Amino acid sequence: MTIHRRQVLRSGLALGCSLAATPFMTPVTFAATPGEARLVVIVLRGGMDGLDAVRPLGDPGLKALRPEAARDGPALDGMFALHPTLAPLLPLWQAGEFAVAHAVSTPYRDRRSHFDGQDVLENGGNDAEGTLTPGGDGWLNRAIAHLPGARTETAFAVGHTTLMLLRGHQAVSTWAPDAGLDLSPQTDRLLERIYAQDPLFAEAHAEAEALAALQGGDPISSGKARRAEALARFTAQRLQEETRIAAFSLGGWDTHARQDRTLPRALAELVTAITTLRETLGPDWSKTVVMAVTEFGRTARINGSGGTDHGTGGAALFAGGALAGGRVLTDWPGLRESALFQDRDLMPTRDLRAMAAWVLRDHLALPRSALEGAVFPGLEMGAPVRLIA
Amino acid sequence: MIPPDTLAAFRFGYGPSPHAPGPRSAAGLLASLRPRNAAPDDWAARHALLTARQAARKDRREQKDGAEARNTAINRALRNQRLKDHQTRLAETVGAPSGFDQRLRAFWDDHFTIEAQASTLTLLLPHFHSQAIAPHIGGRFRDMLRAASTHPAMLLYLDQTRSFGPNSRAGQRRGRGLNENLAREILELHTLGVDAGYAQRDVREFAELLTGLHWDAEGFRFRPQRAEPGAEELLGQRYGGNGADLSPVLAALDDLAAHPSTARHLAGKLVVHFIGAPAPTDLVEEMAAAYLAADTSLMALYDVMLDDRRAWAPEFAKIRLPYELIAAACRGAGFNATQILDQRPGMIARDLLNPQARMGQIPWKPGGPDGWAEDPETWITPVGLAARLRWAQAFTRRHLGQHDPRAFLAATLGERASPVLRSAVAGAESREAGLALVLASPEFNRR
Repeated sequence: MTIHRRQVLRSGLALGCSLAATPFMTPVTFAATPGEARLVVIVLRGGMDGLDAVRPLGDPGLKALRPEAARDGPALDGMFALHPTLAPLLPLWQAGEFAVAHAVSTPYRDRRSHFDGQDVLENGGNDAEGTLTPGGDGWLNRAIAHLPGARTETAFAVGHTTLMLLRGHQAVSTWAPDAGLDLSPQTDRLLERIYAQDPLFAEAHAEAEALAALQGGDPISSGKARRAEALARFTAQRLQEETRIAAFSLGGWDTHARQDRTLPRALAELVTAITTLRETLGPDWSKTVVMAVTEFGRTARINGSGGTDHGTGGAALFAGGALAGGRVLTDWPGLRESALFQDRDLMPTRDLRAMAAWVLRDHLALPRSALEGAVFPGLEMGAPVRLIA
Repeated sequence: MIPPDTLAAFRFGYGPSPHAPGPRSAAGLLASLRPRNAAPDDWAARHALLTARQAARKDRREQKDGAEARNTAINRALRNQRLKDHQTRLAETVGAPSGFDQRLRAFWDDHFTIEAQASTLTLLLPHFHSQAIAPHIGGRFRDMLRAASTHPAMLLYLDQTRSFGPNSRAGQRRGRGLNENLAREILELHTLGVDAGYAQRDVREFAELLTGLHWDAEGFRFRPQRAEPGAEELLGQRYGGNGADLSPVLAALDDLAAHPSTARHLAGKLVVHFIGAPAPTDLVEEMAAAYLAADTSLMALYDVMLDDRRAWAPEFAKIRLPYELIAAACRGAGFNATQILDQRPGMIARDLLNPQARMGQIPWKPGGPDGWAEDPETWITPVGLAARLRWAQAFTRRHLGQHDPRAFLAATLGERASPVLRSAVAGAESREAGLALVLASPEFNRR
């Protein structure tokens, strides 16, 4: 399939690229692909409670910290069980297509602000206080610079603004499932004529048309477009074309009250995202890794309103046919009071960035030197985690 | 030839409105900035909402009877306040005779960006805009810098409330230390600019000088028990050392306002915002000199910029931000301020906040303290343009039913409309399609 698109797409920070220097209408064939491995990063905004999503039922400390909490859910191993809402992922676990990293966190400590925490998560820097690396770009964008043969369509941010995760100097595409072009052919023709006088508008319009055509059908409502199913379906469709890296966000994790009611809603959306990706990707699922990460875990104890507050250590979830899954990776710190971080949070024992770095190395063949340098400054990846089949 | 009033309405305002002929010259634009009555200070009412929210949250934590209902009620009150604040601002923008004062308010709001990261800031931000920024847009930058740097919203947003002099009484007792965020951003973003040659040592000493800036139920308050004892040196100048009080902080801010690097930084930003990048060096230097000679007068900056022929060049290099686009459409549609204020709050979300976010400008959340991007390429992306097109159709359907496309074209764009646009609008298959083409045109989206 041949469409028109710009060779250089702009992202939030790539301000320098001048129009005159850009051959802006380049027909490309979507079959051209730099490698077959696919990566989806889902940012879980609000702080997922790792201790409730993947429950350490085998730890005697859990009952002391959360005496009222339910202790059901399908067992993964002698130690951990899934939250019952995640039960649909159990078959993936059994097939080696689901894995957990537990007691992990970014380097962000002490302050527990969503905004700083999400910035650190997406920026990939090393600062406990949340100061960003110079440039304020995203680690996934910096990683693209080290992908062999990366081009514009390689990375896709799904939504109306580019996630910080994908912002930076490498060109990425951004599109949203509700961003259709619902125009009659006659109006579209007139619009093309009007835009022909203004290259900036002409380029953006041509590419929007191509993306809308790929999407097919009428644009869906904005409410639906934020839901996991629409985001995942759209992402999977892109991954079946030229795109190899995609990212989107899911909200609803900030469960300060009545967690027994609020957390299942967020977890169900995550299950939908993963199962929709799997179904829509079909055979390409076997070349895919999905990584769901959050800015921090939550307090180890339940608070006065049946919820949890902002914490530190938490869990990251992995899915995909390319995984060597069926494992919970953890240097489990234990839940004795003396083992908690600042007497309140699950102690982080492993840098979340190391998990992401090993996936990038083993799945996308990024060199370790780049991962410990430009992509995640100050990171020591440590021992291999062997998450990729 | 584009008439000067049309050009000024686009470049320095929010587009033409049938209710008020806009200024047609530099003198007219400057005259439109004459001080008017300031908005009433509603700090007490806003703070009462904050207190009520805190109490409701505490009740919920303690699982008191009826706490959930009180939380729901306070959340609704906060939401209504937020929508009302956006509505008030849109009404001011749409109803302004010359849009220049409103555009300058937006420019300086953005220069001193605060993001509505949490409900406290969402509630305090409009107070910051109306009380710390608006009164000074035609005054001295020195006064705006003082007001902005000591406003509770700024102290919260840039973490000043977490900063303790390491050797202060409170710092020692609690084992707390400095937070450099506000000091750094004042130097980098609000005054000197990033390449002005200050060092990390300046940032640190300035942060020590700023310790003590805090706030309480009454508003700004200096807390001497947090202030780092001793004098601090910033850019070779010593401040303080005679006991903890606010005066050395204000002296340092005044000196920063009157620094040549600040003058050039502000001048360059104004030119890039209103005319386009890159800012010509000679114009920036001339503006900076006038500003410094007139004791940090902002009018002096505007005066030199508007007096330059490049300010009136017929090339429209800039893209209207999504908020500007929507406000311009409201003005072009003939809305007045009262009509905007009469809309139900839900309409403000549907017609302003949601489309603005889909076009990439999430209200009050630019994504960092450096504010909205100035380059056209950030805004006219495939997803951004698609959102503009969808909005153009929705706005037409909801608000432009009675308009004739050719008349609407003439009223909103006048001589700016290209022959191609005129013939396309005249040749559209329906009234709706023709109107949407006007709103979607490069002419309507550029300024």
